[in-house]
Amino acid sequence: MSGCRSHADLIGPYVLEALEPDEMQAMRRHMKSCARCAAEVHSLAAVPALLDRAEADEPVAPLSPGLEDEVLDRFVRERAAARPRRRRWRRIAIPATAVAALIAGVLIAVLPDGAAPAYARAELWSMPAGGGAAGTAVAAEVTGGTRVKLRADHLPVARGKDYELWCVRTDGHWVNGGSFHARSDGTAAAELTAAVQPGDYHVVVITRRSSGSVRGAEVMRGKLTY
Amino acid sequence: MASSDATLVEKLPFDRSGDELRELYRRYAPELFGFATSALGDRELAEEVVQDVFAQLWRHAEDYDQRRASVRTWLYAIARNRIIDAHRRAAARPKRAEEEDALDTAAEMDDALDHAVLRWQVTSALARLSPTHREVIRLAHYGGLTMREISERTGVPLGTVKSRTSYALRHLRLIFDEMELEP
Repeated sequence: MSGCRSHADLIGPYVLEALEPDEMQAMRRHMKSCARCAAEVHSLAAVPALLDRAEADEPVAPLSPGLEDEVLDRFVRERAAARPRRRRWRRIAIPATAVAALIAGVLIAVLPDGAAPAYARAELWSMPAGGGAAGTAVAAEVTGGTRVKLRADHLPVARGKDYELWCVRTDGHWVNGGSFHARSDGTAAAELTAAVQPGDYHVVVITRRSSGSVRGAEVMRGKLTY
Repeated sequence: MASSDATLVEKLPFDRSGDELRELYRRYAPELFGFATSALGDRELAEEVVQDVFAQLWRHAEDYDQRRASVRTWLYAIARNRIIDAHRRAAARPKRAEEEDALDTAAEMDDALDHAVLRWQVTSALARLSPTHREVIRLAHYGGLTMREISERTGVPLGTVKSRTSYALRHLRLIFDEMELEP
């Protein structure tokens, strides 16, 4: 609702008591005969009291850009961990050849931890800060995201052993897949989970561990082959 | 059409892609972070609070009952509890001299947090106004200037200042209503 056509623009200034004294008085008189203006003034009456609760120029703190990824990453990890365990196979007498065939079938069908079959793979190549590192990333779908199985060697560990995995979405957004540690000999093996779906991303990047909201230097990157 | 907050929370237990969570995060994380920063005075702790709030959200999404509280009210209640926990942890360690006048009783902390919630919600409502609307509110309400004085100071015609102030106030009331704010 807004006030009547002739006085609608005066309602805001009236509620804030920002009209000249004669205008304030004229507005009071007008409202005695104008139900529309009186109703709108009534509906706005609580606003000044609420404004008094804040300060005029209180700064609104900006969020760290990486926090969204951290929250989603935690969500994906918890969802993946909460996935119901598979039922144990009952012990039954099966000929040895049938058991072997069954085991082979299971190995092909699922990855460890109940993940679905790998849907993409990337060869990771060293970037200038990578010092000749190389590796592979194999992606499989899990509840709420993607599990990436990473293998790397020749990682430069002289300046630190902490690294992070990132999935770069097609819209250019980097999604954090978590951090991992390299061994002293520069090798690393890790399984990490990122909040991305097949087709969402085409590039996997390994960086040094981020410091606050500043992403670490790129060490390796590779394009996924679906 | 954008889904309502309650619909997003209802879908959360079945959210495989993280889309529902991401949408709720984008709607509420900035103001919750502002509130936590304002109450704790520490960015890092405030970010931990925001993470914990959303973790509680997805873990307990099935318990949410929109007849009892809006999603915003629920999230602020979780944030409030996390901030109290953070204060308690801080109180457990030896105080530095400048912290000695910190809040001591639970009642004081409750009051301070109620004020902090409201202050922060009003601040974030103001931040949602356009710069021109925010300016007239700032000059008229906080600066105590009349419409004529604002017109003289800014060079904007008097009629425009008046109509702008009315639009700004109406918009602000809508934001307050949406945020369920009352004095």
